[in-house]
Amino acid sequence: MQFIKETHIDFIGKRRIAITISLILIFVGIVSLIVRGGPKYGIDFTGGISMQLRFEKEINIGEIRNILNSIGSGNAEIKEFGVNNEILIRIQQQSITEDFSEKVIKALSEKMPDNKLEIRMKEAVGPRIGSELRSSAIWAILASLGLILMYISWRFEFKFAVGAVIALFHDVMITLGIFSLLGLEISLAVVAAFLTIIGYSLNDTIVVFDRIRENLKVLRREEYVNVFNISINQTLSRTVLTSLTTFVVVIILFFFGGEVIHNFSFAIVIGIMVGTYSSVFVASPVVVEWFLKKEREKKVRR
Amino acid sequence: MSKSLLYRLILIVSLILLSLWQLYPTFNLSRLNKKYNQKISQLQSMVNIDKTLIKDALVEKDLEEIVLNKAKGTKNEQQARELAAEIQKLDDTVFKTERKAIKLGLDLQGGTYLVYEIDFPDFLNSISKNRSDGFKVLLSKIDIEARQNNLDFFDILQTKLNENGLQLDRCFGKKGESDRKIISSLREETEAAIDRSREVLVNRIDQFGVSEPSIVKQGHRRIVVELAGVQDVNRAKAVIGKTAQLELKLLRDADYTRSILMKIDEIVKKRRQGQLDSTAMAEVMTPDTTGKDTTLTKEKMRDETEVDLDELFGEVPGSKKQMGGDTSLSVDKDMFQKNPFLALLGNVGSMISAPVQNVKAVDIILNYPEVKKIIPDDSEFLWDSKPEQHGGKDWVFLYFVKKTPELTGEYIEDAQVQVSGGGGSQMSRAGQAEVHFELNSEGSKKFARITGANVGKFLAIVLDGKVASAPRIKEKIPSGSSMIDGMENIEEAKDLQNVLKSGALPSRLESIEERTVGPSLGRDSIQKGTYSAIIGLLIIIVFMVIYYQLSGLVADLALTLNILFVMAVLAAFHATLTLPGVAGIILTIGMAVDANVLIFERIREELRTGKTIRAAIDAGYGRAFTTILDANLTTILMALVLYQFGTGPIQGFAVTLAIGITASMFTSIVVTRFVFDYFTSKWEVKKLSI
Repeated sequence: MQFIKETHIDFIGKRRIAITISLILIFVGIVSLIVRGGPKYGIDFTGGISMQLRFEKEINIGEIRNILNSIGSGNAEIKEFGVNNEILIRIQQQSITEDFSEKVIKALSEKMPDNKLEIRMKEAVGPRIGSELRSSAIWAILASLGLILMYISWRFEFKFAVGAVIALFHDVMITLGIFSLLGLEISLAVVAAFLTIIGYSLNDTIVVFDRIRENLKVLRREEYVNVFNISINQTLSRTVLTSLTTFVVVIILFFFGGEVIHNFSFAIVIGIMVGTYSSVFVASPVVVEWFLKKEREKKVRR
Repeated sequence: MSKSLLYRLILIVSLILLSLWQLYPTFNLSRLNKKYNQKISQLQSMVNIDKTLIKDALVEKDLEEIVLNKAKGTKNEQQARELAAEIQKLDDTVFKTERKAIKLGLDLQGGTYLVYEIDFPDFLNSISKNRSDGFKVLLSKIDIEARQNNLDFFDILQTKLNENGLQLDRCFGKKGESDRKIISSLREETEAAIDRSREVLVNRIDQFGVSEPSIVKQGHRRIVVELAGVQDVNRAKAVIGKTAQLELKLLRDADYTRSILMKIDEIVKKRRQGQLDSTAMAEVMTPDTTGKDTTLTKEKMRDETEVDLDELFGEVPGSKKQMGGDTSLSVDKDMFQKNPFLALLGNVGSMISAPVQNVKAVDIILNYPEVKKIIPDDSEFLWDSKPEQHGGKDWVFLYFVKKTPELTGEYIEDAQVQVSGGGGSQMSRAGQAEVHFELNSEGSKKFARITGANVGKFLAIVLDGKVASAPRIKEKIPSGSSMIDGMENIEEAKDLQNVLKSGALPSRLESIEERTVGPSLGRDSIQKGTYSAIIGLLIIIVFMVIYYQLSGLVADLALTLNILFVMAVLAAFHATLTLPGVAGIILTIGMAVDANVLIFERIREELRTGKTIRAAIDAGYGRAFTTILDANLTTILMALVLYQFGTGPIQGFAVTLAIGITASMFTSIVVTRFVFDYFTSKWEVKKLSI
């Protein structure tokens, strides 16, 4: 069986359209980020308390809100968690030494004595840890991009490294933008997903680059644009297949993996789509442009 | 078979066998656990014994004895005893097997991850020569500044002290010692304090019987505690976080205490009237001996009324917030206008106390700067640790004590829980749990001297800044034993015994991060993770066969082996499998076939150019290899960054991803190549099923 027979699609020729689309997506994301005042950080990064509680019987969010108001935590965020007897309560709090969650749990079990509750999960992060994690997350992403820049410069050429890193940056920006648009929270796990996206997208990009490197040697007479197009077309079948298999498993993870890693798997789902797109439509065009510019400069000099 | 093929076959088969051997304990563990739980319920049906008691006994290795005591004389005495012995043996086996199996992360088996940080300012204040609240505040400021500017605390300590007109050698170390030496010894002392704290925590947690607790130092001031499968997290936290600083402090005598309280009262009164100025301060400083007729001598029940906080403090912004919402106070109606501070207090018996709701207001007053000036430097006010009921109201005793302790907990040799028989001290009731502690010989000598010299006085037993009890010294006590009573239940007493035995923390530990996953969520996660992995695996396996036919089957073999190897490596290193780790394995399933897809696509391409099957296979593997290597190495690079960045669960993800990719390079290149080579060498393959 074969999905994709020999293709001759002019990917590079469509680079202007592709870059326009990418820029629009990134722009929309940035606008959303600005309007919402930055990414919506989870308690991992802001500090605070988050609890997942399961009740024996169905619950009414309004009732819970009233109880929380009565103990002076009206700023708590309460939302249903998949099923109607499970809720997520989130309170941003400056210090976790004085444990507010105890108060919440006590109040809830006292005011609703016939509806037993169980703590499914509880996280309390001090503000200091939060800001530390935030800076280490940013560092991790920057460090990984730096490492990649070095590795690809070493294995390929600096041009390729720049193309790859721009593509990766593009992937993270778009995923971040989509998270902001949908009002999803950036937690520690989501940052881990970003790093995974970087890894995956890079994997994809390298396969294409590898073929380009090979073809640049073999097809010396060809125009750069053609070499790039041929390489992308040759690897297209593999790109589609691997994206498909990986996509299938993360979609499964997204639907069946449970609420705990929902945002994590969602980020990867988005990332795989964007990452596949970017290795064809962002990374390679950037490198082509560079090659073409060099070529023009050479001609001018002559 | 050619030599090269044979070697490869041996390599692959031995790796598979090695993997199975590594994984055996993991498989065996669930079987053992099932049997173990069965036996325990069997024992419970025979002997009336609590499950926690069984677990405790298994740790102490005296289950047989306990069961024997309980079952003595009954008809299944012998049977129960044998069962107990069997369970003890099984417990050992389970324990040993656990060490060799894949460890489940806290997010999968339920548990708690706690991060503590040593309270730097508090610790340095406690070892400084000019120990005081003011100095601690200064240290806190320096600490905050260091953190904000990402500087090392000790690097800026000296300059900051100088800026505040303090010399380093006046605060720490010996006088005249060089600054560098003092700083380096401070560093060492702090480091040592963290190490000591960690040891204390290890001792305390040992008492819980948690399987494989992990208590590690992180950086220079943090301790990370991981407790798997702990049911009562709050109890664990209470024990871990308790400083357990035990001090014996002498109470100031009643007249002296009274005079101080009167002075404070004057200040509060002045403040209420808004007349407090420097001249009034001077007036306040002279003791008022005429005001003896106050609450402290009155024996009648108070004529109570409720006033709002505002009536006491005026509309002070912020004071309401300090009180935490509820602002009503209980005061004596007659007294409130004349003696606003004393009206907050009352007396039960001969002791000073305050209604629970007034405690915070009293604290606020005691922290007024002008009140602080009144309280002599060598004395302090301390609250009782628990309220007590009198006349239908909860009261908390307030003690005025000498600041320097007569004796501290470092002399404690042993502590034991006992159930009170009643009588004894005035507050102990029959059937209540008490913790008795024994001092070592040096402590006993000191204790004898102190009690001998202070007969008739009250001695407060202070635990972490709260008075546990304050008995009157009736006579010289030579034995060096004392006790703390008023425990709510046996568990609380046991915990106190635990912390007293394992010693005090050198300084307060601040909880800065806590992540708890309930056991039910953990079970759900395992189930969902396994479910997703199996569905994913099946879809990929079927897809590969459809797309690449027989070659797809070869890739499937590689994929299955890949998972086997990942699990085996996890087991071999006794690594922790977390939920993101499972996600990593699932992601690997998707990505592992990538290498084979690359190879197969390449082989197809080569075949299209008209190469022979052998040549196409060789070219396919050869050409795809560098691609695979580059693509996978970068992913491993990412996994390394992830590992550096993340904690616990995320590190688990990074680990499985890295192992998965490494294993996939082996399985998808070496294993599949072997299969292709084997078949093409054995048979004349006309058409490659790819």
